[in-house]
Parts: sequence; C-alpha cells; structure tokens
Amino acid sequence: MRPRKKLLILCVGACALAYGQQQSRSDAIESERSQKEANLTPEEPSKGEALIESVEHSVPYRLLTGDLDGFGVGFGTIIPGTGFAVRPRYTRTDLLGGRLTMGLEGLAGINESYLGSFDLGMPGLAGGHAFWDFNVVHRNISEMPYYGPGPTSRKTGLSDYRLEDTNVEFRPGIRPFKGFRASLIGSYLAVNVGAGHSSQYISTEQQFDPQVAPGIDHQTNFWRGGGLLEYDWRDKPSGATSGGKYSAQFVRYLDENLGRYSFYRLDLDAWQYIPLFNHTRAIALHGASSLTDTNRNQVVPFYLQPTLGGPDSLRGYRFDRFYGNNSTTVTAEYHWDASPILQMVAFADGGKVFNNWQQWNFHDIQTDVGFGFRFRGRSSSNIFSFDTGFSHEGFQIWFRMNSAIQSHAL
Amino acid sequence: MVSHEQRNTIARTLIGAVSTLAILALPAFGQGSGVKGFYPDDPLMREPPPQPATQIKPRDVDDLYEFLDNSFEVPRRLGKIARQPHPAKDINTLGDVPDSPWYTKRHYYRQMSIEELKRGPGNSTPPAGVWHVVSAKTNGVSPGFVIEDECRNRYVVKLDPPENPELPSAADVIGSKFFYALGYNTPENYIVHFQRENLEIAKGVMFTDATGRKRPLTGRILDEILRDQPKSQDGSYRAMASRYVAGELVGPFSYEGMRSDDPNDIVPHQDRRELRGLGLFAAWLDHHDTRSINSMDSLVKENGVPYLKHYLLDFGSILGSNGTGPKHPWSGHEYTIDGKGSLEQIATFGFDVPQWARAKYPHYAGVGRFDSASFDPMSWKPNYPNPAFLLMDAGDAFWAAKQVAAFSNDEIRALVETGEYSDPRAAAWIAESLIKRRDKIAEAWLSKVLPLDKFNVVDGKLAFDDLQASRDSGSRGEYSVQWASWDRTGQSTPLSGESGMQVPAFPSGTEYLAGTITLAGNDDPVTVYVRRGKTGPEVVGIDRQ
Repeated sequence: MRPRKKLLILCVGACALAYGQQQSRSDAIESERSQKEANLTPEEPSKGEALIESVEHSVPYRLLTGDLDGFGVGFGTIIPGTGFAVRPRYTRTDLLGGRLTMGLEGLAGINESYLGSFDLGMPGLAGGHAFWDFNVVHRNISEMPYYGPGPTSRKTGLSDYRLEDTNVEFRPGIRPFKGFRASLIGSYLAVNVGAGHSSQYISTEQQFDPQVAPGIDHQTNFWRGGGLLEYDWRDKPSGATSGGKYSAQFVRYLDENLGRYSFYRLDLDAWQYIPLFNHTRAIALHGASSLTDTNRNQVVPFYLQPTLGGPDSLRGYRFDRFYGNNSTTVTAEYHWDASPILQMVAFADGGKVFNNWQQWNFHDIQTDVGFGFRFRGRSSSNIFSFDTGFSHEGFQIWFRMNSAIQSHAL
Repeated sequence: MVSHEQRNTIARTLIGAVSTLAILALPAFGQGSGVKGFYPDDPLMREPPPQPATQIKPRDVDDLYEFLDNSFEVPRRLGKIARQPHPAKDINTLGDVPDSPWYTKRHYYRQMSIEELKRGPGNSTPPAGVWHVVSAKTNGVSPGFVIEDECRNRYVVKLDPPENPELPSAADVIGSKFFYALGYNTPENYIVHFQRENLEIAKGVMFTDATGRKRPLTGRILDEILRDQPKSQDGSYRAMASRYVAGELVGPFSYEGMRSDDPNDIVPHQDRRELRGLGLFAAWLDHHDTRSINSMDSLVKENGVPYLKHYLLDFGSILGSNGTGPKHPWSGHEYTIDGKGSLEQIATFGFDVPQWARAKYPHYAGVGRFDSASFDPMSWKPNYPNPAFLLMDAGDAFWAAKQVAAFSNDEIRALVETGEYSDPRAAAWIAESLIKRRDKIAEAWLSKVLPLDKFNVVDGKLAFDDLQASRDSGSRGEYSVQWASWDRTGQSTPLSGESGMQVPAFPSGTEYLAGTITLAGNDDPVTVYVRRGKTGPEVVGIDRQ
C-alpha cells in the first residue's frame, strides 16, 4: 500500500475513534445535523454584501439608475469639453393609461451654463405605427467656442460667446415598419447671443465683426419647418456591431424679425457596421454632411452654422473647432473586443467645412487618428467611453457617459 | 470553470490527486464507528430523512455582490485550496452523491425511458383555461408575466425576443429536462401557445414600470408587451411557462458556504459534488449563467417535516441563447472580467483572434450561438467564476462525465424535441452539437482514467461497466484483478493465487477484500472493496487511482 493511502486511512481510523458513538453513516449525519440544529443562527449577509445592498437601495443609487418613481440624476457636460454638469430628470410613462409620456430634465454646469427641457409625447399611436412628440428646450451656454469662419481659422483665434436659445418643437410621425421613421418638424426658435463668460478668452463680438460672424450683432427668432427620414437596423442602439443607421433631415429656417437670416439646412448622416469574427470585431464607417443654402441677400447666422470638431466628428480637434456654411465628415473605426466588458476602438476621422454646398468634395480635409475604450454593461450597451484623438493641432480626450451627454443640437 | 492552475494540477496528477476518494468520503457526513473502516450502511444511497427546518427565513443573494466577489475575491480565496487535493464531502464510498433534497440519482443510475426523459419534472399540468395575470414586467431580461390558471396553479410566462423567436423558450424547456435527468430539481417548463383573449388581468394587479413606478396593470400594457411578438397563423403567441415550484420560496442558494438557519445544510456548498459537477453539465449545455439567482430554495413539507428543497431555475441562457437573444460570442469561453486576456487583446489590436471567435453558427430560428467545434470541456467558463466549479476536481469531473456520457444520441434528440423548434434543421443542429459536445466531455474525462463503474458482485464474480469500452463498442482487452484482504487499520495482505474476477473466499477474521483492477496499457488501477455481507460478498467502496 502506498504511504499516502496508509496515512489517509489511518487518519480516517483516528477520526472514527473520536466519534465512536455513531453506529452507521446515517447516525453520523444525524449527529452533525443535531449539532448544527443546536447552533442555528439567522441568515445574515456578509459585511460586503450588506454594504452593496444598502448602496443599491439608497436614494442616490436609485437616482443614478433612474429607478426612483421616475426621478433620476445623471452627470455630464452641457457641451463637450466644458465644465462638469449635473442632470436631474423626472419621467412619467403612466399618463393617460400609459399612452402619454412626459419628461422633465435640467442640466446645470459649473461654468454657469444650464439647460432645461420638457418632453411630452405619445409614442404608441396606431398600434405603435404613429407618434407625436412635443418638446421645449431652453439653453443658456456661457462659453460657446468660436474660432472664426471656415477651414482656415486658427486654433489660437479662440473666442467665446454666450448662446441662449429656446426651441419649441412639435414632431408628428409614422413608423410604417420596424426601424423606419418619418416625421414632420415644426418649431419656433428664439436665439440670443451675448458676451462669453470665460476670462481666458476674448469674447467673440470683440474679435469678429458681423461680416465674419453673421448675426453676432443682432439675433432673431425663427420659424422652422421640415421633415426627417430615418432607417435604423443596427443590432443594438449603443455599441452596435452590425446593421446601419441612415437619416436625412431637411429644415427651413425662416427669420421672423430681421429678414436676413433665413436659410435651408439639410443634414445627412449614415453609419454602417460590418461585423467580423462573430461580432467580436467590427468595421464602422460613418459619413455625415450638413449643407445649407440661402436665398439672395440671406446669410446663415454663425451660431446656426454646421460645425466640426469634438466627440462626434473630428476627435483630434477641439469641440466646434470649425464653423462653416457646410460641413462633411467621414470616419472609419475598427472595433475589437478586449473582453466581454471592454471594447477597443481605433479610428480615423476626416472632414472639412466649406462655404458653398457646390464645393462638396474631400479636398484639403482635416484629419485625425485615435483610439478609444468602450466599457459595456451586461446588455452590451456602452456605459461610458473614452476617445483620444490626435491631429496636427494636438490631442483631445473625450469622455462620454451613456446618454448623460446629449448634444441637444437644434 | 477550471482555473489554469487547477488544470495543471489535474493534468499532472489527474485521478491520483483524488486517490482514496471513496475512503476520504468516510468523514464527509460524520465519522467512522471505530469498529471497522466502513459503516454498515455504506455505501449510503440516500441521506437520512431531513430534520425539521423550522427557523428558515427568506433571504436574497445580492447579484452585484456575487458578481464582484466571485470575479475578484473567490478565485484568490479558493485558488490555493484548488491546488491541493480537496475532495467533495457529500459523496458515498462509491464516489456517488446520495439522494437528498439537492440531488436524485436518475438517468445514469437507472436508465430513464424516452418518455420519462421527455416528461422530466412533469408535463401534465400546463396552464389551463383562462390565464389570470397577477403580475407583469415590461422590461428587464425578458418581458413576461405571472399567471394563475383555472386550477389556481401559478406560472411565470416568458416571451421570446421578437427578433429571436423560439430561442430562449426552447432553451428553457430543454434545460429543465436535461438537468432533471441529470439529477437536479427543476421546475415544470412548458412551451405554450395562447391567444390574447386567454389573458385576463386579476383585480388590483400592479406592476413596476421602467422608471420604478408602481401602476395598475391594464389590458393596454399587456397589448404593448405582446405588440412586437410574432403570431402564428391562428393568431396565437408562443411563450415558455414555468410552473411555480411547490412550497414556500425562500430565495436562492449560494454556491459557497452553508445556510446558517438550516440544520440539514452541513456540507459547504462548494464541497458538494453535485454543485462542482454541475460545472461540467453547464459546460455541456453551455449554461453560462449559473448565478445564484438562477436557483431557488423552497421550504416544503414531507410527512409533516419542513425542509429545504434546492432547485435550479431559469435555463433561458443555455444552448445558443443568452435569454434576450443569441449568446455573446465569448460566452462559455471568457469570464466577464479577465485582466490577462484583456491586456493580450489590447496589445495585439485584436488581431490575435481566438478560435471561438471564428466559430460558425447556422442561421436557423432558435439556434443562436451554439456549436461543438469551438467547445473545449477543459476550458469552458461561466460568466464569472463559480466557487463550486473552481473546486471541481478529477473525481467530481468523472462523476459528471459518466452521467453526460450516459445519454444516447436518440435520448439527446428526444430531449431537444421538447423545445418544439419549428425548423427541424434547428433541432438537428442543437442535437448534433450536444452529441459532439458529449463526446468531447467523455474523451476529456473518461479516457484519461480507467473508467470502471457500477461495480457489483454477481454469482460470486466481480462485475462492472467499462464506460469507455461501451463508448468504443467493444472490449478493450483483458482486465486483471489482484485480491488482498483488508482490515480496518488499512493493512492489506495479498491473497496469493487470487487474481480473477471470482471473489475469493474471505480469510478467517477478515471482513473486507480489496480487488485492484488493472488494464493492460492503463496505469490507473481501480481498487474495489468488497464486504462479507449477510447474503454474500457486496461492493462497499471503490478507490480510483
């Protein structure tokens, strides 16, 4: 017999001698049960589990997860690259027996910027095939960047201005089939532009005259009307790896007061995702263009011009680095899963602003490259992400937390 | 499922690491009598009746805590233990698990007929008549509701994701049958087809919406839940109905530790063979979501004695399903948090493509991501480390593998049929994948040892099954047996000239004989302990080297 085996059996024998009362294995089991019966204690979570449970049931946690009778709190920035902002919100989905939804949201930044919005909608009309949405947004952003017009503006020419606007909008629409949405847009937009809040940069009106920055001297209000077509067949809305999303929005801006700033704007946007290796890698291609046109003697005010730069276009450049009457941008991304909860991204962006929509081409585009991290939850949707873009103007780091940051672009 | 360190240990010593497994089982439930090496009632086939559990209070296992603890703390805590021999503690002297409120010896021990397999925990009480909806959820992993039928039976009704009809519902039903046949307590799960008119909302029913607000459940909300569901030609919806398990539900069981309020819970759960071996069953069926919350303890009464019965629940995340859609490609292959693997992927820009990411899946409705080609039974992983799975040793794996290998091709196909796939190609793919995964498990765990089991003495001769020979459809050569007398001190004395299958006569004063069986070309003998019984020699224990 091997020594180890001998040892084990001797050990068993010794143990057996110590428990000489039991005459059978069943007796031995009964004996252990009886010993435990005499020492029963209520089930209590461990300290660590109790701590996590208390956190999960706490008001702050439930606010963060939007699970407190419709109340919630998020974090982010009002515009990317500026100060930290808190975002309280209140949502109702039970009005009119669940037919009517309502949302109230605020966003207050440390640089004296704030945003408030109110939403009312009926998303499930005609068995889910029709909807309407009424939305009011008021923004007061104290430090909107402006570098001057066109692709040749200099990074050192940064100025800032205060943008205060209120948009009241109504969008009825239909969803004739899954993924497709068509809606009409009718809105009223009131705009006020003032001196920037930053003490670091010159205020825009001191740096640029109305010929360079149309509308810097006088603002107006607009009636807006148009429509949106959208088709979305991505596999998931956040962190998609296959499918695509394509949209076209056309809006007529009608200057109500001054008769100088009426224009048309067409926004085209397309994302295409090509899955590789069972969706653990993907190629994402993005193209977008914003085109404006005016009738004779009309101009597009600078604060409503298309812009480039920031987390959604040229990531190696500062937010709204380029202003122009038109813009186009293309992006290619390579996504790969580093783990179930971490997706890596390598990207290259290119784009430019230009004065006249007939000049649409890819000559002399601004470019950047970069990489990013996407941290995902159990549903594989992104919880937060970091992107770092590099361009000849340096590098930029963009942090995005789920839907906490929304552009609220008009 | 098995850590690298543990795999290395297993590879080095394999069965040797758990030698004298059956003997080690001796102190598992108590200690010996001091009179002899085995108790008179060994091998114990059934635990003694439970003691009354009168102090049980409901409790929850926090899902987030378990995820964090199991991902970060448990591997560190159990890693050292897993590197040393640490046999299961609830086994009998044959290395099997006695029947208990946790586990019942079923298909491997007494072959179930096809009908029994398909019946599983029960198939005669699907929801009947009008369904009274008593609660609902419109969001979460899968939308659905709780109903009470005209017999006042309660069921959880889960709908398939509209984009992936049949996927989780089929998995849930198939899983309940397989795990039942494997010995676990599972709920009765049914594929059901119902009309909207079949649903009535019970009075005063409230539900919690996505914003956390409680509000009355209305017909309109039910309509919304059903709005995107595919309808069959007769206007009915397909769903999975899981009947509430009997008794008072007191929360899930944990895969580590014991309940402090249950007198019958005397073996740490991570040391239970049926929970360790569950890791191999989970690997076979790709049950990556083996969280505590997918289990349930129920306080039941038998002969007036209340005790806890332990269930596995929610199999919507087995096979190719993750409950809401196809499995994620990494499911079964990577833990959710895997620092080393992540760094490798980051450093290689993802150009180091794992084999599982290249797996090919068919586009049949209900299949999702399930295959056999990318399956490696030695490296399969659940979503995050499971304490019991981490401690699975070769003995646990052998116990589980022999049960997996016991399913014939026809039996597997019959069980897959219970998922009621509309596309026969889907059922065929699932069944063939399970057959090939079964073979991989058998190859991994049965071929490395001398897989002899089901020992008995028949007409004075030692009889047994060679599990590998039955798989290879033939004999594997000559077995030789060396007999020795064996006493309670562990002394064995060879019996000269006694080397056949015939059990030799017991020398005077000897209670036990030890027969060591070897097979030419196999270095891993099995020792069988035979006791002088009242009616003749009887097998009392085995010892796998």
